[in-house]
Amino acid sequence: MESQSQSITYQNTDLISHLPENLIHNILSFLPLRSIVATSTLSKYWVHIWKPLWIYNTRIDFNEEFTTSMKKNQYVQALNKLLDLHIQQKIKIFRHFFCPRDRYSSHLSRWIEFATQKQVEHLHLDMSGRVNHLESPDDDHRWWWIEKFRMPNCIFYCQSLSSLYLSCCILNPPQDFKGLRSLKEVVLEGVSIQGEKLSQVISGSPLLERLCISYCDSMGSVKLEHPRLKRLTFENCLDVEEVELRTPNLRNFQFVGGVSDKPNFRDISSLDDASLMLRTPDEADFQSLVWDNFMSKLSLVRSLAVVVRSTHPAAGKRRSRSMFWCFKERRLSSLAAGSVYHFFLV
Amino acid sequence: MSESTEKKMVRLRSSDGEVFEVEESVAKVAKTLQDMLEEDCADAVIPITCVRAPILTKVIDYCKDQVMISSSSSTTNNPNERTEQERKAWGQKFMEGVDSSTLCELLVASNFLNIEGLLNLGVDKMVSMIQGKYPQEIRDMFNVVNDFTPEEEEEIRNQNAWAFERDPYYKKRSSSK
Repeated sequence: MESQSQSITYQNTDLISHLPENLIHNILSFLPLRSIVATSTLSKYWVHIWKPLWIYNTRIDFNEEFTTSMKKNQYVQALNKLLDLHIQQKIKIFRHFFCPRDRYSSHLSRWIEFATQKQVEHLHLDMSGRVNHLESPDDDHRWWWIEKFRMPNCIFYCQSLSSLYLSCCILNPPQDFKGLRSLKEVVLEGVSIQGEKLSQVISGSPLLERLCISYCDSMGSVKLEHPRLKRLTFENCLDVEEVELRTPNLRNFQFVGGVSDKPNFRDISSLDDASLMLRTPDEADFQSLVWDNFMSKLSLVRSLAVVVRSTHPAAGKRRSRSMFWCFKERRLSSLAAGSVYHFFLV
Repeated sequence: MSESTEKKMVRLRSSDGEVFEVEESVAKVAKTLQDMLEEDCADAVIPITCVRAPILTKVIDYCKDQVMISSSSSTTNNPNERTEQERKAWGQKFMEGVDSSTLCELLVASNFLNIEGLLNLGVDKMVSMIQGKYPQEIRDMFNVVNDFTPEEEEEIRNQNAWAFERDPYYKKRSSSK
């Protein structure tokens, strides 16, 4: 009888506000920032409850949902306010989707400075604005016509950096750039960077294991030389004059490009998983480029995909059609590279 | 763990005075009780002052289940071992039909008794209940009394206005085209 009456009163009391604070924080920590902040209006008790979660937060992740949910000026205001509140000295992650255009680039520079000052380890900056500002986000060419943001120099001195994702920006390391000694992973999409500067970043990062370069431009000659690099993607870059590879520990490699890129793969014998997609106007390129330069050097490869597409010079417009073959096979380890080639031709 | 022939029993008293007798191994799933039992500072009946009988029943159910899994997983062919998926499904079923006030009490109990697995189940459930809700919906769910004056509430809202608009701007814009 007594327990029944008690359970009735329990039904009507505010239990969530009486939870121990550590429990409330535990629960809130699984919610998106927006929901966390929204709890501040539940009652007077809740006004400040959420704050420790934010100000000591080491994972600052403004995801797409966060970004796309508000107008740009509102976003800039919100971010400035939030970052001002934050007091944790070191942060692990700073992730952020924002296309600044000219108007907000000074804010963006400040946010990046904020991250580097707090010795960020994973910096992820997507400046393509592909979520909210482009009509057709799947269009490959989106990268070429976007206004690019000039990356502030502070990231080139951020020695805590272990993984870096950048899109739609101009990267130009300063004269006194000495490398990034903790950097393990770099992904650049739609970034303007000169080949020699790229080489400088790569050779200055002794721990680098994964590198992905796609839709980058202003390349010129690119020399990728690294003793530790394990995974490399190089695809659809613009203005490439020559790509040279010296990567004795490369295991996984994807290349998408044209013959005009003059790919020159020197040290790739450690490859385990490779895919090569080459555009060429001339079938004769197969022997010299695909075979001599690439496949004949693969002795350990277990998974291989090679697609050679011929390009039509007609109408000055590149139209490609699949010409040769498309091949994908696993378990080739027992075959010598030579017989792999014959295998194709059958 | 030493296997005694006779199973040692432990008695627990809920806040509303009901006494539960459980095997020691079941009680020990709760870290707090384990520490007490190992340091021998447990009395004949351990009072669990912040947990009511209906909640303690549920907690004991959980502990019994944990004992069943762990005792069978020490042998090689155990029919009770669960895959990740089964564990998730079991957890969901366990929390099914738990209302908001019971959930809060379960959270307090598992926090006090230090039962990590149960605490995680409760937190998951709580997160799924709160996520994407407007403040008023959360107030209704947990009987939170809004003690702001309208002006005060407005001010708090304005401090972080972005957090209170749920319609994404870009969707509005594209639909107005």
